[in-house]
Amino acid sequence: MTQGIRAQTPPRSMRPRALVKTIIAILSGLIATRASTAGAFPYFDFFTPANPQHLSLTLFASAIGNESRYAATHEGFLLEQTLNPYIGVVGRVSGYQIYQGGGWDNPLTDHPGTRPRNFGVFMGGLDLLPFQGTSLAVLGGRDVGDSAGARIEGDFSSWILLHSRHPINVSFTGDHFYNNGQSSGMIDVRVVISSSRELTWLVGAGGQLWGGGSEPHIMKEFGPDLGLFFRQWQTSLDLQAGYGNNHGYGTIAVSHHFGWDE
Amino acid sequence: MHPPIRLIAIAVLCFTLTSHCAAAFAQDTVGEVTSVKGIAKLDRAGSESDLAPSMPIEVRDRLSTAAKAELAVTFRDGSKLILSESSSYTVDRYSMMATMRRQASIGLWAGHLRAIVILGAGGVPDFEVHTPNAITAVRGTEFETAYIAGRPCPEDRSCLRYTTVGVFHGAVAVANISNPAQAVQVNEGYETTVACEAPATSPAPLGMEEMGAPGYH
Repeated sequence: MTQGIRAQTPPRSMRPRALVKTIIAILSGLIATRASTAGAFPYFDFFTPANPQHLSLTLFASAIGNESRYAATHEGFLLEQTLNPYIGVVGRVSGYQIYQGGGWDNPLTDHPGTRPRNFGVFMGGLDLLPFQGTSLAVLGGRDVGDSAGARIEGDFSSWILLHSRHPINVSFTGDHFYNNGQSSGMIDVRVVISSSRELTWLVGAGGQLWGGGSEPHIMKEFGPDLGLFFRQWQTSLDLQAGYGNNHGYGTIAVSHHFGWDE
Repeated sequence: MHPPIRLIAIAVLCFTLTSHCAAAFAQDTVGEVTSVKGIAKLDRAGSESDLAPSMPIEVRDRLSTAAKAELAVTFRDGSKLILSESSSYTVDRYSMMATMRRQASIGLWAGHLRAIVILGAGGVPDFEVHTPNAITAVRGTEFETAYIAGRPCPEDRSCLRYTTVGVFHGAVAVANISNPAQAVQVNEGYETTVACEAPATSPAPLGMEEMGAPGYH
């Protein structure tokens, strides 16, 4: 069975080429769509500064808990400055506390014993904004403290049916921790169910996958999502709870956004 | 007998003149400044002065704010306009019958204007906010209009002048000024954009630019 699957798998050198072709085809299609809707050559203003230039600061904190198997908290800030209309430079500083066990965002080589493990994460990179409502941030950085390895991360988010009563957000985050060789991915699909002056409600579903390093199997957990965005306070509250290989889990995140046009 | 007749004639003349002045005042004064933060200016018939609380506002007045300023004007029918910083508008029309509004038209020339509109006589759309490229017609509602020039519109980056209208309570109808018949209804909690000569976009929830992926990371 395994041999059969291997026989059907294209040669290793073919797969990246096919992937590149697929990405080029998707990007070409999106650019062509954009050109036809905008009525102008896409990215004609690529070499001009963003107008206005925008600086944003996001403060965030989150907590993750798995039934007696994993408990962690994160907090920190993210700064983003536009370079041109389609590219921003991003820096993020986070503090991590892992109280017990291991989970999808754990870069440690061994599980903490009786004491919490604390480390800081310093990351920087670029945020690509190819279309309205779509962003792809590519970050790299290093852990400092109880974890001391490098890490890379990609964050993709896109709004579908933006101009409708119920826009849909699709997001994906991929990480790789060089400290323990673990890779992880988060995926979420959420829809705006209600919007008012004060509050926007989003519901959906999402989950996490992780594996590699000392984790021989692909671990996974999925569950429903609830998002609240308090417009006047520029504050988001995100909740997810579900079930997976680590049994029941819950996640809560709060973020507060500041922005300045220059 | 002559002196009393002359006095009576002078008194009648004065009464006639003052009553006309009072009527004219009542007719032209449509509201007053209720709060000012920072520097706000009034341009009336070409002469400019600083605005202060309780100053009367008349039809054809042009009001503007400097950076980091905010100006609130309450009209005689109870409707309220709040002008954000670096913005300006004119009171193009504001006709009243006693304390009921019959028709109002505001021209927004730059920046952000929040309007809290009291339901007019007959409940028909009788309050309009015009920008150089859009027209917003409302019933009793609260909404914010912004006219931005010299910056690319997020909907069409080749367009450098656009209007956004966000609705907090009630509903408004928004159209490009070049085609008022093609209006889009924007309900509470939603916003629309009018880019250059294009029709108003289908409404999107307020504040979408601030929302994205959940913040678990």
